[in-house]
Order: sequence, then structure tokens, then C-alpha cells
Amino acid sequence: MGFTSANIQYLIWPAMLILLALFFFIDIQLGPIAVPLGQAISYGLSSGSGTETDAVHWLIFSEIRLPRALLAVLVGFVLGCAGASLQGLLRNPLAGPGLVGVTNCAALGAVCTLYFGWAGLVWFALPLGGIIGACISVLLIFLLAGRQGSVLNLILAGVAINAVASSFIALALNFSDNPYAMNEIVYWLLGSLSNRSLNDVAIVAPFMFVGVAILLSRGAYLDALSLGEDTAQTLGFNPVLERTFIVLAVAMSVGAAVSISGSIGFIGLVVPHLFRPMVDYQPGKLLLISGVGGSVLLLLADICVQLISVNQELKLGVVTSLVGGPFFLWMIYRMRNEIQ
Amino acid sequence: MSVFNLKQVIVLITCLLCFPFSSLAAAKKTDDALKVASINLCADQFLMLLADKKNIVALSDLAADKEYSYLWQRAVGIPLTHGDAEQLLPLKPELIVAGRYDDIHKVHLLRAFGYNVEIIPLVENLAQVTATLEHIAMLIGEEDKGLALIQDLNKRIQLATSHLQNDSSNAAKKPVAVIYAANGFTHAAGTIHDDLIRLAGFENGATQLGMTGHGNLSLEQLLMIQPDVLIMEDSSNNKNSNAQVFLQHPALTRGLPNTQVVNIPANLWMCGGPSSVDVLEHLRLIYQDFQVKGHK
Repeated sequence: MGFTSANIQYLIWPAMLILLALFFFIDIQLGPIAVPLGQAISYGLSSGSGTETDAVHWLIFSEIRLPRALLAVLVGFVLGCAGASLQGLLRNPLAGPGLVGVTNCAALGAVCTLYFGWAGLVWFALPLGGIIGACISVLLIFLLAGRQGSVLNLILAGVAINAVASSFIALALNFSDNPYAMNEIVYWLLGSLSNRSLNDVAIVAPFMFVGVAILLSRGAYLDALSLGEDTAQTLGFNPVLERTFIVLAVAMSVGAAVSISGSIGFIGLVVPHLFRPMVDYQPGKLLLISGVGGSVLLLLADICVQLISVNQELKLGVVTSLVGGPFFLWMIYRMRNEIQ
Repeated sequence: MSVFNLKQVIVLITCLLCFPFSSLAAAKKTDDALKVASINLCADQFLMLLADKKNIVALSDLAADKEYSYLWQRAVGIPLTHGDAEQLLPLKPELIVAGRYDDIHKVHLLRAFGYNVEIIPLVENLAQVTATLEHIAMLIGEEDKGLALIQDLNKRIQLATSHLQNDSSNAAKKPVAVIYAANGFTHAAGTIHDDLIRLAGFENGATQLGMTGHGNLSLEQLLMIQPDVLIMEDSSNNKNSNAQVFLQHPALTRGLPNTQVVNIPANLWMCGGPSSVDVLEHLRLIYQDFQVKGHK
């Protein structure tokens, strides 16, 4: 008895959940200074009995590290799940929010709201900017590559959208008369989770939850779609409606995620491929596990960032690209006959 | 009305009559004072203090920006350039001063055009302020003015640091100060900022952590230091950036209950130079204020 796919299906869930908990635990341990976590948490739970140092440790844990780890889980989940959805919807294994330009366009939207001062107007302005940016990019992808489009069309459309979005990010930052422009261009294009607060998490989380909930509920359609659009229609799905739902949900969740983290590459592309064989190549089943996988991968990336550079501020997107880039090359190598 | 007109006419006529002579006189006078241009914000500050306005043919583009340039009001009416040879060529400077970290290609290009480009070393401590002042005064032929300025600065420095001789017994436990700007940017050992903090009677918390030079201090590190005084660089614009939003992080606003937060305008800090003495005086006042409040 080797590992049959059924065996793996049973094993994969507990394994992923254990990894998720483990990496979360490791991630909150790491930072520029050593914090005895047990003491800090007991201080927090006993609502303030302890030394002043404990108070500072509790604050570091609750206001700096917890938001960072929570965001890694949430953003990773969104990117993984959105990647699986886009790959299912476009029936194209190279579709991922980063590669087709959704994340960069979302970053552009967030940049515009932040740097032109609109972010302070209403609490949801920043995620809304990201969502609008993401919506525009998804529309562009459909216009340029279409649902029936070839892999090559999709990739080229993605290259173009990415190039335009990243240059507009740089342009917007220069126009905003901002002495930190260079620094912040790097932030938005490479992504980072550091120095975020629980308020930031609270602002974007609702949009992520709604978006992800819609995506997860569309699993049956994606399964049907894998048999072809006609079959899906015969099975009673309204393709236009379903597509609109998925596209809006991707834009909503990814837009909100990117507005807080910048564009973190390759998670959405890589993760679904890792799990596809383990769920019998069923796009519907792939959604949830890809989300969890995304969380685990992003936590791992953040752990690497904390370990490699304490003060050098290595951006998270650098690590995900270091892993994702070679994976992408390998995929192209494997698919080179199909692409032509 | 007519009186004004008459006056204006007289002035105009006088000017026209005197023009050939005055330009001659100016030419004679510039024998010792050079026509000088600066392509660096920090060199700008020295020139605006030392040189006659009519002898400054160009300043850097930041010289008139009050966010960065302490003497921005004096830059009004002087041509501003980005340090490009094309812009400087028609202004015919006899000497160009540049900073240590200016684009070396620009400097090479200007030198290739035959310009005399002098690179001003970085000011890394208070002693170098007067040394640099003397050096530039000599370069542009304003030694007397330079000497007067240096005497004045030395008097102020002596006044602000007189405590160093008096209360050496206090050295046992000095209050800790940390400079904190957008993105957590701070200044540690080997910078003039660090020098000024120590001269005012504080310890620099970033230096105590082993940091050197300019760099970023993470929120976590700042919380662990729990400085007595947090010195923010006051900058009124550019609120709409990640870098500034960083300073409103709840951990920063809630995590330093015993810290006194003070502001020193960013344009005073920007360059090591004569304005550094102003910073020293600010810091000294903050120190005295802290001593009063801290030992209640």
C-alpha cells in the first residue's frame, strides 16, 4: 500500500492544520528582541499584574507580533484561495493573482487612496481602493485573454497589466511629493506585514471574509466547469452569474489583502499546484486546502524574513518570489509543449 | 501718488547713471569674494550664512523648501538647480560646492567642463561645524565673516554645554533619549545627532543598543528601550504615507506611558551645520525641562 490519493486526503488536513499552528507559534516568537511569551501572555490574561517589563512584552506581543502573524494567515489564505479560484475559473494552471496582475493593480488602488489623502475620509477607503484596483485588473484580463484564451495570451496580458500597474505605482508615489517615495515603492511592490496594528487587521478582515466565503461556496460550479462550460450549463449553473460572483469575490478578498500587505507574489500561483494532486484534481475541493496552504506558506516566508534579517527589513515578497520564481520556471519548462 | 512716481523716476535715473560704475565696483569687489554655486542642501546652508547674496549664483533645489532647509527664507530669489551642468553653465560660477554623497557623475561632468568643484566633507560632530565653516569661508574669500560667525557659535556652544563641567556628579544616571522619525528612522553613534544628544546631557538609547550611523529602529526595540524622552522630527507635510502612518501605531502611542515626547523641526536636523547649535540649545532646554518634571 503506497500513498493512495485517498490516504493523502485524510492525512493532508491534520498535517496542514498542525503546520499552521506550529508556524503561527514560531512566527510570534520571532522579532528584533527576545520576548518571553509565556510571561507576557500571563500578564495580559491577568489584566495587568506584573512588572513593567512584562507590560512592554505583552504590548509587543499583542500589538506588534499578533497582528503580523494574523495578517500572514489571512493574506496567505486569501492569496491561496484566490489563486485556486482563478485557475479553476480560467481553466488555466498559470493563473494566479500575482501573475495576471491583480495584486499589483490592487496595490495601485491602495497607493492612490493612501497617498492622495483619501484613506482618512472613511474607515474602509483603503481596502476599497485595493478592491477597485483589483476589479479593474480582472476586467482587463477578461478583455485581453478571455475565458477561452490560451495560456500564452493570459501570460502576456499579465505581463502588460503588471508593467502598467507597477509603473503607475511609482508615478503616483512621485506625484505625491513624498520624501519616502523610493522606500514605499519597494513596500508596495514587494509586500510586507511589519508594523501593522490590530486596527489594520480589523479594517480589512471583513472584506477578506466575505470574499473568501463567496469563493468557497462556488466550489460546485468550478467542479462542473472542469467538465466544460456546456456541461456546467446543462448541470444548471448560470455561467455569467457564477463568473461575476467569482471575479468580484477575488477582487474583494485580494484587493483588501493587498491594501494592507502590498503585493506579495507567487503564493496564489504555487499553492494550488502543490495540493491539486492531493484532492484528485477537483477544483472545488482545492479551494479550502489552498487557502490553508497559502497561510502556512506565508507564515513560513515571514519566519524566514525574521530569521534572515532582523534589522535589514527584507521584504516578504522577496522571499516568496525566491521560492515562487524557480517554481514558475519549472512549470513553464514542464508545460513548454502546451504553451506553443 | 505723484510723489511716489517722482521718487521712482529719480531712483531709476540714479540707477541708470550709476550702473556702469556700480558694476565696475562690484567687479572690483569680487576679486576676493567668488561667485559661488552649491548643489547640496547642506552646503547651501553654509553659503547662505557666509556669502553675500549677490555672490551666490545658484543653490540646490531643496534650498527654498522649508521642510528641509533651515535658511529657506534666504534662498528666495536665488536660482535653484538640480546640480546639472546644463543649468549651471549659464550662471558662470567660479566655485561649485558639493556634498560628500552627491552624484559623483555630476561632479565629474562639472569638473570636465572646467569648473572648480569642492566637495564638503560630512559633518559628523559639533566640532566639525566650525571647522567646515572656516574651510568654506576661506574657499569663498569671506574669512572675516566666517570668523565672526564661529566666535558667535562657540559662545553659544559654551553656554549650552557649560553643565558638562559643573555637574559631572550627575553622570551616574543620565536620562535616555531616542530620535524617532518616519519609518522608525533614528541616528546613533558616529552621527552629529548622537553628539548633540550627549552634549545636552542625555544618553542616546539607539547607541546604547549598539547601533551606529543612521538607520531604522524597530518598534519592538524602541518599546524595550523605554526612553525618558522621545524626540520626533517635526514635519508638517507628507502625512499621507506609510512612513508617517507608522508613527501612529498603537504600540507607539500606548506603549511609552512614561516617555516625554518632544518635537524638533526637521529642517534644523537635516544637516550638520550652524543649525546644529540651535538643536543643541533645543535639546538642552528639553533636558532642563525633563529634570524639573522627572524629579517631581
